[in-house]
Amino acid sequence: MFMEQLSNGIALGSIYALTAIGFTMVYGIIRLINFVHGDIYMMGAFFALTGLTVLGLPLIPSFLLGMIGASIVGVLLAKFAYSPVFKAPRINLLLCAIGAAIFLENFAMLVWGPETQSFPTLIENKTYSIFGFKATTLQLIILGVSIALVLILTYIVKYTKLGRAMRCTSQDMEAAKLMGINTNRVVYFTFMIGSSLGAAAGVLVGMYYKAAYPMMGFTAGLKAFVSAVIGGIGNIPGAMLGGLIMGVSESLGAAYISSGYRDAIAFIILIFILLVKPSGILGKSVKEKV
Amino acid sequence: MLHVKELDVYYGGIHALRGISFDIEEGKIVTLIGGNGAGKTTTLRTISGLVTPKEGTIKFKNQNLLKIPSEKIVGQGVVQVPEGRRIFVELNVEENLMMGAYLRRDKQVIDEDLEYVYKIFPRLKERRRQMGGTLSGGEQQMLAIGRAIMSKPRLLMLDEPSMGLAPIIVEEIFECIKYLNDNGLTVLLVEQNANIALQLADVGYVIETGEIAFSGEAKSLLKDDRVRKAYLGEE
Ligand SMILES: Nc1ncnc2c1ncn2[C@@H]1O[C@H](COP(=O)(O)OP(=O)(O)OP(=O)(O)O)[C@@H](O)[C@H]1O
Ligand SMILES: [Mg+2]
Repeated sequence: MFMEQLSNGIALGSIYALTAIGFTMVYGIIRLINFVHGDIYMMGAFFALTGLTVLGLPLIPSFLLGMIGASIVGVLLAKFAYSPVFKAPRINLLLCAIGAAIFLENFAMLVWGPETQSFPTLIENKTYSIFGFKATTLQLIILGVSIALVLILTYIVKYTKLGRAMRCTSQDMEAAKLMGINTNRVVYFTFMIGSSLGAAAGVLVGMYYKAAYPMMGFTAGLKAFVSAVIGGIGNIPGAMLGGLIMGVSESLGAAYISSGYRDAIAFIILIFILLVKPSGILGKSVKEKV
Repeated sequence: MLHVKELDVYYGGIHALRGISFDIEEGKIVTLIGGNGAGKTTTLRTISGLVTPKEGTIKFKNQNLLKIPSEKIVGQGVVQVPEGRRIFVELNVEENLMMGAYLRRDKQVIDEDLEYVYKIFPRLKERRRQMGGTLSGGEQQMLAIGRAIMSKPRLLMLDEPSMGLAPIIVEEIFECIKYLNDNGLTVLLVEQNANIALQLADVGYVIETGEIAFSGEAKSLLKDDRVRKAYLGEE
């Protein structure tokens, strides 16, 4: 029982981690609590589902369709909903994000209907047992895809020119401009990467629970937010750690305490971490600027 | 080389620059001195394209800088060392320097320039793997200047490089500015410390509440009563 719950927790945690990374990256660049991120995740699931059922594409192309489609939506939102108010006070940006979230949820209901759509079963789900550790095929796929995406992301952020531009822009946007960095392009690129990771998480969740519905992004977005804050908002490794902690404790908590508390556990951890280390596990304590 | 004419800049309702004009000749050190809130930083930010003026023109080598987006202005050789240094605290010294060369493609010359910066500031070489945020104030200023050199400046603009530094470090920094100028670099130096700035510069402009109050040869400004009273603390 423990082993099953643990691997379930790790699978869930990988999904939370992927979602949280996109969330934390956008925050790191423009200091926006991106409320629309959960809905991007939902869009990813629906785009992939459309690829599978309507277009009859195989799994991998559908998966990519989900990621690409959602990242286009993310960039369009950044361009048309956010960039007009980049220079306005942060509260305007936040309101735009909330508006965009409501728009996407209703858009999805209009296009795909308000009901829960079932995801076709694509992979035969077997249970493997290695050294007493039990995991299903889907759980292994979720873990594998998440690790692969995180490695690609790490490579981009650490070793490419665009990645360096991203790090500089998130540390000091104006100084980045003085280096000749086109910070608008960096912002769009961040939305693109963040949205495609969120979308990947949405598709994986759709495959795991075999369902997609227009409001599926709501709790996911909230949990991504919590994971990002637990790990230290703006910090990519922190978001991964936060997501894994959330997934595992939620799954174990649901099994050993009560499944009714499933979603509450996230917030209990959040409160606990904020009391002990307000900047999050890997977050740096913010120094007052002189 | 640089011609600034009748700049008017607003921050919302605040009229920060009221018709600023000045000229910089190639090869010279020009200083802009003035007290807190006079508009010195705003002037540099406008030249670098970080704020857009309501009125006025900025010409650099016969190009209209106002038509060029901020990220391309560096590529023209108009490079700024911003107020408060603004180095990247989570990059190490060498990565910071390389960010200055972000737009450049001439790999070989970049390496030479890196060595040139290390020659001017040997302390940066010793600390090349150290995080920017862990440097002392003086070292951060050196890093900010080094980073600007990596952008291949034709006009180097420095915003209060002496701020918050011990006199001996200030002297070192100003020696370096002089050295760069001797090697042909044109400099626009913004300072509150009128004394050291005017001693180094060829030409000085005094800016007060968003306007150029008066200007002249730096050496004669040093003897000017208005300057001595307001900026050199003499009676
Ligand atoms: N971002 C901003 N928003 C609103 N007002 C601003 C902003 N930046 C500067 N100002 C105002 O514009 C005026 C000029 O400021 P600026 O920073 O250019 O002065 P400064 O000469 O550089 O002063 P200091 O020597 O203190 O750095 C000041 O009245 C300041 O309050
Ligand atoms: Mg200033």
